Amino acid sequence: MSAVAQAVEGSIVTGSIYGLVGAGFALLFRAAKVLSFAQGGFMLLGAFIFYSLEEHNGQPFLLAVLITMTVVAAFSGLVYLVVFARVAAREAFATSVATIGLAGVLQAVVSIKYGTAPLTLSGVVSPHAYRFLSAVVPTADIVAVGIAALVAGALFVVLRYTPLGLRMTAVADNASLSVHLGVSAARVAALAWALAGGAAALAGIAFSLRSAVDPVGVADVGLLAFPAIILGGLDSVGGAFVGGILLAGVQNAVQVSIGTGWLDLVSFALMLAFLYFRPTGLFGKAEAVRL
Amino acid sequence: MTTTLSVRDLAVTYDNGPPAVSGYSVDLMAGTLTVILGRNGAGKTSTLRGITGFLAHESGSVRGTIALDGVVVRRPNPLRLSRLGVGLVAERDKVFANMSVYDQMRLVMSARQDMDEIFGFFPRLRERRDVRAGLLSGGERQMLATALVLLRHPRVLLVDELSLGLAPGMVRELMGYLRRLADERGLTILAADQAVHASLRVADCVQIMDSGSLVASGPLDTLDIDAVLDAYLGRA
Repeated sequence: MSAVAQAVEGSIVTGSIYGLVGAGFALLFRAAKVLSFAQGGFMLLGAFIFYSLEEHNGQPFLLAVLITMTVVAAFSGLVYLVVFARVAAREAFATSVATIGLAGVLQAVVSIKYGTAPLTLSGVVSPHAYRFLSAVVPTADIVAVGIAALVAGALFVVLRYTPLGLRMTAVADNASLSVHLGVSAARVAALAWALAGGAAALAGIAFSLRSAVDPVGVADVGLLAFPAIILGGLDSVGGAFVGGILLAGVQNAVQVSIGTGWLDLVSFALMLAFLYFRPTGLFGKAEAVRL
Repeated sequence: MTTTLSVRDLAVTYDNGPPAVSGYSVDLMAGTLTVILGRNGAGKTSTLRGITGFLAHESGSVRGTIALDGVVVRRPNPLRLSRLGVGLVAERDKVFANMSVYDQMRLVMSARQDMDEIFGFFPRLRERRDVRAGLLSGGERQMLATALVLLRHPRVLLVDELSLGLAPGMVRELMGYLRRLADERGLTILAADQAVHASLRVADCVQIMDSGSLVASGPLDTLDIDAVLDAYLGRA
């Protein structure tokens, strides 16, 4: 019983982190029809900025989180305006490819500055663990899930109830028409990039609190968020969180039943199966077409 | 009557090719409906797009002068023209296919009563308000496209091929809407179309284009319209 409860706890926490990265993917896909491979890079950047603020500057936890999120969000929005706006105007596909380059640059910059060995965050959150339904729940896990819940709630409100959410949907649907109707597609896309960057930075922090500031581990999570968003639906921010938790659940089951070596195989096979049988994922919408 | 939109010597080219439009000029008076008629490839769509300007990634380039209420618009582009009150109902991709009628009207409206007014004008849109636009009929999409532009309270309405792919009855109905917009709202309208009879029924002024240039232009009652149409549109 306790093993099952622990597996469920692990799935929720890991899935929340997948969801944080995946929410950024979904946002960018909604607002710009771009599949960004740079989310892992922004996650890494966030993790290391947070590490620097905590370990070198001794900033209080909440302040360090806010500064990291703001800096990475601003950087992400700026990268869009300076580099990607012109590429994106031509072809969303070209932007998606260009994000691979951006991810490479971010990873290289971080490894030049901090090296490639995992770094430990010492004493940032309490080492105390709670017991809940026979599962052991460390404080870091509660913080990770809390961050994910806050981001999910905030994005839900922004997308569902604010003019910005409506504009993002419109720009993703038809950017040219949006401009002809007075909506600045470039500004909307830059804001989407900023929000996605901020979410990725928070994912980097959440991941690092649980294990270590590990370039390889962070990049892996960035990649594993892909199956999560395909499960949830490419354009569904809520789906990213549900897909993330489902994927983490499957991974936990695989790990317990057949071994860690099968994790990636099953994860990506699941993604391919969804792409084949249900390409819109669990919550994505099919295109509305009437001939 | 005052001039709302003035265009002088408009020229449009694509990818350094031959001009799609050259030497186009017009003065649109407030509350009038002007139609541009011409065959396929005559330059009608390029003229309307030239007035709004092109997006950065589009391959069109424009020369000429655009003035609104006597003030020259510097470096015209679609966002600037839209914000200055020039609305374009485009020939293609004119609605948000994956958004509901209601959501896309909400995107552009500034006050709730505007939507009620539009629903009064196009009652069919009220019945279809929760349907995604990609699932609307051709006529309903035209109504929605026009409604989206109207919700922004334009002073000038540019309409490209309102009749495209629609039955004659629907074309007459939509042209009737344009006439009402000019009469009841004082909107200045420039509509490019191939539906000659339906257009002439509602127009104040007519322009005929051929090979990118104007070959006739003026108030309907001053033109020998039959002769012009015979010469340039091949009407028997």
